[in-house]
Amino acid sequence: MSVRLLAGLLALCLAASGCDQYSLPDPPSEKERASWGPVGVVAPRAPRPASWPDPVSGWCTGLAVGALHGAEGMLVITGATIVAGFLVGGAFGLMFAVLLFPVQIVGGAFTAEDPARADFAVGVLAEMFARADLGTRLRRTFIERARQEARATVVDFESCSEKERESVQTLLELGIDEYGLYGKPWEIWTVNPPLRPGMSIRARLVRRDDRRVLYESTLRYGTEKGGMKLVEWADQGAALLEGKMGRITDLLGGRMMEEIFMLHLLPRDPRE
Amino acid sequence: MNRLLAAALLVLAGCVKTGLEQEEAICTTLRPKLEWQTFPPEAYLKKGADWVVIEATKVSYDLRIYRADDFELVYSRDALPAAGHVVEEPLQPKTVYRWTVRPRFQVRGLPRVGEWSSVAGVETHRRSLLPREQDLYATFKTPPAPSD
Repeated sequence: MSVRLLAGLLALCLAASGCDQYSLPDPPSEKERASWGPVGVVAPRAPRPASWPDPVSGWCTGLAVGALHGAEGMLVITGATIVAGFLVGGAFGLMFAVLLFPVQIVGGAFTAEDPARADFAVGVLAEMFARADLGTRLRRTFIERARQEARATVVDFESCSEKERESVQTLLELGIDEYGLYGKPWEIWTVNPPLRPGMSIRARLVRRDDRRVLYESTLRYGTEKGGMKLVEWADQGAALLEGKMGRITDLLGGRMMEEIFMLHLLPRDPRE
Repeated sequence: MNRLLAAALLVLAGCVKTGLEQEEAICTTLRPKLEWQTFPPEAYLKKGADWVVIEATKVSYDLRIYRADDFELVYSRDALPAAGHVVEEPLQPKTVYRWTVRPRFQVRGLPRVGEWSSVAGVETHRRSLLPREQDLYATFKTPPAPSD
């Protein structure tokens, strides 16, 4: 069973269970913030590279991948209608999937990219992400805004002086968990679907003397609008994507800074 | 009472409906007046209530207006002194916007912010996925251009 099929089934199960994977923890209290002392920001030990689905290129490959997606689609559509409790519906689902199968094959062949253009686009994206160094940009944005807006005592632990390093009582591991170009979950059976920039950042605040985790949170950016094919994102040295990824990094870094140092929620009314 | 300023009444002056409902309010001007409840909400200032602990001073407000169809930020003001604001630059006609405000204040001399206002409850609103949370902001639609 392919990864795409597993991902599709997982998405269906999550949607069915109504599971909320995006809730945020409460921000730290003022008492907690006061106990941190100077905070040193560090990069995570193993930063991850950017990711994107490799474009399907070449007429023959497109045909084959279209057939594979068609078969996967048949299984999922039929399976989903049966799981939903409708055996008769399952039969209709199977009929629909069988009709969709040849469309997927032909569509795959026609939407496959030119191999040379696809290879060039992948090279441009890899170069752009390496040049942009978004992990460093994230930490720089975070530190600058924490100092200026929250008036917090925050240092870049990697580049600060020995004296500053000794004063740090709390470490903040801040880094990008995932970033790159992503398709919509329901488009995973499309050959070369439109892709959109996405990013996930993680912050983990750790007390230095006993390694106790004081706060941990993840922020994600993802939108279903403004999608383009991978080769289109690579046009003009991927300048458009570079700008967008930079803005997303600043948005998430600024928002994480506010969550950790500035957000102050009103106490809950016990009469509720 | 909800922890969010979202519980506040968001009013669009010059518009048919209040902005509190999910349905979009229809404005009669391209420069609507946006109003919101002052911070902290009055209930949090009642003397003798043992749960009142807010110590906010130097309160001001940050305002954001996004175009609804692409979540593009089109209007932004920080540290507005009053709980109301007339949009200074005309917005695009016949366009749906989402808007939100948050309080900016000080707690024991340190700058702090509240949560962005929302038409949903705090449990729905406090989500880690951006910018989808804008779906929860109050909505309004601008009128056609005067010459239309």
